[in-house]
Amino acid sequence: MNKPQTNENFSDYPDEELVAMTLENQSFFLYLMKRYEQKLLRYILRISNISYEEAEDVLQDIFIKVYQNLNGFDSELKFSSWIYRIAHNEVINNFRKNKARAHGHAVSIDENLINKLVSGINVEKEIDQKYLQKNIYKILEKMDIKYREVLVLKFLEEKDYKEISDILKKPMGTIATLINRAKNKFLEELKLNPIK
Amino acid sequence: MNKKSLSERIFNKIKEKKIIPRPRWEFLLKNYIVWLLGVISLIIGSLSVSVIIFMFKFSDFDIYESLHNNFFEFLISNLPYFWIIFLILFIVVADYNFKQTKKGYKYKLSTIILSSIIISIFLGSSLFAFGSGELIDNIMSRQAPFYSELINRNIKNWDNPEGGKLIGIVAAIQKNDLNLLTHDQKEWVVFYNSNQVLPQKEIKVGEPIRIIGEKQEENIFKAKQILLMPPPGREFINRNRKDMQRLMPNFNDPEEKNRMKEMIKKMEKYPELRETMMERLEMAPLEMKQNLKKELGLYECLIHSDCKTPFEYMVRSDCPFESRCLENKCRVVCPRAFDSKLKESINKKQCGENKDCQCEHYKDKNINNENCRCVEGQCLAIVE
Repeated sequence: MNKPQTNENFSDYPDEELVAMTLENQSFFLYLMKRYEQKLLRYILRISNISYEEAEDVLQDIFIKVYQNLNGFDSELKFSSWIYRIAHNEVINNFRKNKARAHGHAVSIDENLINKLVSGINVEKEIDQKYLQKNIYKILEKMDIKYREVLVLKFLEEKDYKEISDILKKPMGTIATLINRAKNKFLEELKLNPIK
Repeated sequence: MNKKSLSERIFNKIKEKKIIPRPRWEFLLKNYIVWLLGVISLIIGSLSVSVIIFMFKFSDFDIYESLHNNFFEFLISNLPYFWIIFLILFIVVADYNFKQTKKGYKYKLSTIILSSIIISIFLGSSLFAFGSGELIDNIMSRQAPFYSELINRNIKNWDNPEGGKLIGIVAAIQKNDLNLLTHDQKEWVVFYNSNQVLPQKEIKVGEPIRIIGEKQEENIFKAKQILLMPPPGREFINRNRKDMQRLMPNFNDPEEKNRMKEMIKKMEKYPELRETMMERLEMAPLEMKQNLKKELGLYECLIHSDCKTPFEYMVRSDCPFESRCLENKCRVVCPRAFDSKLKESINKKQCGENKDCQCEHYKDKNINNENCRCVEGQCLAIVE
């Protein structure tokens, strides 16, 4: 199948429209993948603590699943929530398959996001922001994946409660409780492993 | 040469492996199945509720003080544990299915469980109003082993003369005592006075009653209280119902068949009871009534093949004797009891009414006009 024969810039098209177009013409799927490649790769690395190469393999499985299940996409959801949901499931599957693993490498987080996390979690001000920025994954990796994931989605992926609820398939009230507990766990880990 | 991006490599893989999106109907079908299973589970849960209501309604709440030491004891001995577990099981299945629907995850588990319980209670009450609770209880008591012993113990609980409880059908009423037939064919003489009857109505022959009292001697019981309302009961105990569909005993069960026959025999002693039961039997649909009468020995036969020709007639050479079912009785007949000239037309229609038949050619001179009949267009000499 060939690329769409047009000079149109599809980057402006909403996801949902690209989904409909993909079902007509397979080539449009490439635009969707390019749009989410970096976002999902970053998300996988942030929540799963695997190597970059392994994350690429997981991403490949995710995109193949997304393509296979395109007809099952519920248009009442945001496409981004749906694709993150599939990514979440695939990461969990991968996590279960390979529980014992070597540590991967951390993805850099910009200062702005660290500030959001710090203010969201009420981390004491005197903690060195640069040091936290460098070592945040050491804290996150010690946390249970269910807490790590909500913190990543809320503060690093900057998803709102509704989106997190759709991604994790949990009621919004449960998400709020999870985030609250995750914040406390984060602070507990921070106290146990001071990185001042 | 430019290295391809990850997306391009994945895209090529999709093309190479000829991966295609799964068809839409698969997703729709899965969604429908999930909903269907959820709804079915909810209906089964509601049916359990209808049985629970049925069992509670007839749990003798109004007289629990006479039957138990306290309310707690009454509750413990009357809770329909099986049906409650059944209800919980199907609520869990319904909730699991609802959680699997597209929007199921948006609701808290507690909200889903509470909604399922409310729906089950509402639907169960409606089903109970249509009699489903009793129907299921009846079917289960017939089909499920130990149901009467373990699940609905009400009849068993009442069938306990040593424990001061007796249940049965009123066979005859005298001034200060009555005769009671229990479902295991025992006959009891129960001493009572009319003040002990609840509600204050006249006891009638053929009515099922429950008695709280004391066993005095073998088959003699002294009543303290007589309850006229029928218990949640099955089989013979429940037979005062006008709805005769419920009257049909399970004749595939030889024990039940024998019990019914025994009961009919016992009724010979109690003509009023027999008459009452027969009156009720007459209300049954024709086919059911005939089957019942046959099974109970009131009808000898329904069709000719129900009858067998006695051996002594089979060896006789003066006629090819046959057995026929005439007016629900097996009769030995001679279809060639008339003119030998008519031999050829045996199978043809020979007569329209009895007067068309003449049996004088039959050598047995005892055959009178009454026994020379036109049956189904054929003249027959009824021999025995």
